[in-house]
Amino acid sequence: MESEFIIAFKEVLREQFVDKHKVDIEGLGTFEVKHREQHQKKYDNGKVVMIPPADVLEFKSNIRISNEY
Amino acid sequence: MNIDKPKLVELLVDKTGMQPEDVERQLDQLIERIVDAANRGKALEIKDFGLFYFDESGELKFDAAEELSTEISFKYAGMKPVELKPERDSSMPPLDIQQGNEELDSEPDTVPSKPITEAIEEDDAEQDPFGLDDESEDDFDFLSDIEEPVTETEEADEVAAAVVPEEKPLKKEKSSPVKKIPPRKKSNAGFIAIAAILLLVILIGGTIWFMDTLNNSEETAETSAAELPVLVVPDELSVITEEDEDNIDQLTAIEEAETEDGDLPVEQEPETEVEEEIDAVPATQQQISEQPLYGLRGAVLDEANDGYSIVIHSFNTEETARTTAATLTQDGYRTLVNSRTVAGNSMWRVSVGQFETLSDAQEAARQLPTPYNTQNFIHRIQIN
Repeated sequence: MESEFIIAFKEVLREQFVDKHKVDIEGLGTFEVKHREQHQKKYDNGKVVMIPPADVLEFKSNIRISNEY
Repeated sequence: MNIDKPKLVELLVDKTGMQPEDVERQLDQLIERIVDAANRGKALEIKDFGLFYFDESGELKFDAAEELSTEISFKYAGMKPVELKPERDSSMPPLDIQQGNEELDSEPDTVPSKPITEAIEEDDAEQDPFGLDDESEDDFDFLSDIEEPVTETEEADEVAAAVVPEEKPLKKEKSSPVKKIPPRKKSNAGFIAIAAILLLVILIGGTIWFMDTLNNSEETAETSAAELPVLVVPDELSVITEEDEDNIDQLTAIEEAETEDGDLPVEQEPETEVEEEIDAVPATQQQISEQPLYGLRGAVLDEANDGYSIVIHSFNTEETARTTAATLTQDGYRTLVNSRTVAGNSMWRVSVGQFETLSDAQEAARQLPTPYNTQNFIHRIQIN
């Protein structure tokens, strides 16, 4: 496999993610950028933290481990 | 918009210029390798992109690399989790009471004693080392060892005299009869501690001073020896100093010119005396060798292409992008032009600066001239 291809692969996917496109690669899985609103998070010790909003990349796949040891 | 595999192949063909069959074959190979590596219990990492692996439940997972995550979430870059204050009623009052008690207990001991020790230390540091060292210079170890204990006891008496009168009024102010007894006990221990600290200070000060005088005497001996050859050839020396002065003049002149030019902390060789030449081409070559790796202005450095840049223009045609970039370069900015495919159209983006981190770029973007400081966005530098 050529490194040129890997670099192009990374760049194309990165552009698509930034443009909020869903990328479905057959045989691998689906990449999707989801927006996460800001929210409060409560820790067990009573500390409350405000988590800022963010865009996060989610990956879903139907591929399961084929030969389990 | 949904990008499926054929569409992805199309985009990859556009990007690389390779044959579609070739791209498809390589893509299949990549997918095969990811799944294969994961099957063997290993994680496959694509650098600056992410990590593919099977989790405990046997499902294929992907963790985006930090670079990718920050770029995707570039709008919210620099936002950090904020801890909200806990409710006051439940937690704050006990804290206040504790603090109050501590203050009451500690004040009689520490507050009055600290300034006194400082004052005494200062006085003694001025007086005693001289006396000690004069003796030690003359009589060396025997006398100094014997005489130090004498001075300590004197000082201890002085301390006792100094501390006791000052503590009494403070205790009266507090007017708490119960607490009078423990502070006194502590204050006795305090005298011993103060005396011990003073002893140490005097000993250390005296030895340091003694060592210094020894070194100085050696140095003076050396310098007097080194001054001899200088006296032989005074002409050469004077010539050199004159040249140095000239160089310094030239340097300052050029630095002034450069700060007017663009606030670049760049040094230039003193030979380029003409100030106007700084804008010319040979000067920029010197800047390349000496300018910082990352920054807003100067020349574009290939080594800094792993950072971030501020996009301030986007054009449909390469020509307009190049001409705009040229004017920006003339203004002294590091200007980059690259193409992106947005919704099927290729756009030419003109960006300025090369920055190591997103926050550096954001900081610089705020300081751009007015149309640009609000209308911009930051992207990772990519070379086409």
